[in-house]
Amino acid sequence: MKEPNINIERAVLSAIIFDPILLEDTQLQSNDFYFPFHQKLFIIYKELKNMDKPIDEHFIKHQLIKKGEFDEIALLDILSANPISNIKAYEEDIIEISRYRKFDLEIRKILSNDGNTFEKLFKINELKDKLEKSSLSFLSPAQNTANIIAEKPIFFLKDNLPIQKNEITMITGKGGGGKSFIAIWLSGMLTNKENLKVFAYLSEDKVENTKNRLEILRKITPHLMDFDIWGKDIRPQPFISKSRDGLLQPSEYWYQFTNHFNNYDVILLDPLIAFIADDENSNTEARFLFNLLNEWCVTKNKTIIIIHHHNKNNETRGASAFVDASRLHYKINKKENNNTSSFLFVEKTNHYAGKNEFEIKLFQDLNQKDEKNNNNKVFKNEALNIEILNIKKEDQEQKSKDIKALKEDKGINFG
Amino acid sequence: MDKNITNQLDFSNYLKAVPNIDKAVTSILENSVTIFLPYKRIELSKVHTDFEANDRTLEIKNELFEKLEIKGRLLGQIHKDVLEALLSTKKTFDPEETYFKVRTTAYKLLKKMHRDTSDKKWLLKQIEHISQSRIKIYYTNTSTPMGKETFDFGFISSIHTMENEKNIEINFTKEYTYFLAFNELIDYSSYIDDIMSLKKDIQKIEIKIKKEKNIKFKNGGINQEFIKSIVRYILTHNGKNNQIRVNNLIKKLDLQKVMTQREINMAITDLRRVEIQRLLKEKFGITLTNKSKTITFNIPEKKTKQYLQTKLKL
Repeated sequence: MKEPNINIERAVLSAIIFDPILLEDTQLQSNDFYFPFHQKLFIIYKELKNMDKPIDEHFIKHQLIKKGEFDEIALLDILSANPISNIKAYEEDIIEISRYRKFDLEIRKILSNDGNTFEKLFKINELKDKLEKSSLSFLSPAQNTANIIAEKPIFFLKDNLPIQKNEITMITGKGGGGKSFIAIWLSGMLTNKENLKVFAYLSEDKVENTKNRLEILRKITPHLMDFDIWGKDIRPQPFISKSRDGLLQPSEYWYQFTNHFNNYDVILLDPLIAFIADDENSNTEARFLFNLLNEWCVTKNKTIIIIHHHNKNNETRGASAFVDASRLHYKINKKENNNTSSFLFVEKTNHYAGKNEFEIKLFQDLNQKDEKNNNNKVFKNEALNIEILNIKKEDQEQKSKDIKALKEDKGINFG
Repeated sequence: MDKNITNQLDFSNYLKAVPNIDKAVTSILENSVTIFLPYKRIELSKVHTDFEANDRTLEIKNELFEKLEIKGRLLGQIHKDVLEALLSTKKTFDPEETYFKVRTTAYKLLKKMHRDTSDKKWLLKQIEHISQSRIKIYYTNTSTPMGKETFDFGFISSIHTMENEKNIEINFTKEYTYFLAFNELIDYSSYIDDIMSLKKDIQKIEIKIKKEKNIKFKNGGINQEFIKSIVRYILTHNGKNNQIRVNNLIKKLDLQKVMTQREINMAITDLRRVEIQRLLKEKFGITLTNKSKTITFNIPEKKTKQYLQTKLKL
């Protein structure tokens, strides 16, 4: 935190005495000054201005004596300070330091109050947001392109189903179209292939059902790794809320959620609608929500995957801003005569250039499975490396031939 | 469960697995899980008392599967010596059923184990112990909806002795054959002699230390079985500068479950003795580095070790 600077405060106060017109434009308030005498002096400036009296040594002294606040040395320090012609920059500095000071004070107040930790955390987060948005110094200076190192967008699972790092990817499909299976498959793949820490909030299914689905998927993709989930038993809550005056703001739940899952690289949310406050058709709300999510992606290095429903016309439901704000949008479709795969089509992309259709083989072909059960693999255990196979009994003749070959070629004893 | 699923091999798969089992001395799993305890006199250990109290069952945790139970009889490294001596002998595979046998003499086995060759009774007792023990593995089968399954096997199904216990025929079980067929196997027969002679080598070291430093060893001297466990675990690795911290190894083998902390501390102290380090380096290429906190394994040039199967493809 920046420390208050007595010389800057003196210089600004001195400049106003030399050029009282400065008082007309200033945004300064008396409590922006750190030193009590400076605060009192600024109040007197304002009073003199209101009384249409000149702001000069004589009247200032008179007013101070009247209020019993006259401090000759402090006043002399101001009068002897070098006045400055442009006080704007100094003014901003004083305001910013004052904001930090007030913020600090507020935090202390919140912390010393009674109440539970979540309430305190929420209030502090609210305050932090306010400070970040209002503080002048939080506007980053513009960067010159000459000083920026070019960086290509990074994609995970390039060969399987590209997911852009630190961006929002949206996957949409109609009910029963395999969205949740794709969500589980993606989570397992990202954990295994990209070594990422994945959290999937699959809020429409029981965790046990999700586990069952994962095991079904492992029949085709055995290396799908375990990942962390929440299920139906934990009620999802909106990430945004409306303030009393009807303005959108991040909800208390949002702060809790982002803090809670700060350690994860990938956050998968299924379905999007569970996290919307009021109206899924409102572009304002959609934009606000996605701005929040995007900010989280960039500032905290998160990659977000969102599962969303289709409407009756097999189009993405709700506000168009959902799709606009995502960097990559896949649409899930099934193909006739194919019960084993899901097909994902790239509907919208900002950075990805490559094929626009991906086939994800999820399930075993039931017809083939029967055949396999009779002739080939029955089950496989990864951990033990045990595979039990059930191959048709060879006839005796073949058996003898094999044994003879092993005896002769490899010198193995039989008997 | 599918009625076709059993813990026995189909004959054609058996024939495919035969060449690997023929060469194998051990499976990685047997060496990296504490099935064979690091005790010479198991019946005097605390773990044995617990085992008796718990319906003759000892539970071992391991990261490879949910848990493993040793039932019926606890086995020690000495039993592993016998098993390896048997498995490094020429095997005979049954032409009709899916199991194998070993035909040998007590003399040959005892000689291989660097023991008194007249001690037939002792040898048969150890083989009998092995046949009395069963291993039950609890695991999650990732490809069936119900998931949890068990696999249960014994090593030896029958022992025949002939000509006044001179000739021995050991029949291994179909389940153990099946277990070997689907596990990673190692042929470290070039190390067998060194492993078997560890006992004598360590005894020599004990005598030397006693003489030179006038130290009296308590509790039966240096825990050779502990050193054997470590050696057997390390030998499952490829020998290209493999490293593991001693403490991690203790955890991996779940030794805290089967040894007291005092026993572990004493065993580690013995492992760190200069003479033991010299022996392990010379015979196995095992050294202690990082202030004796880390075990490093570099396969000696003259030794060979062969992995037989990393994942059996049948």
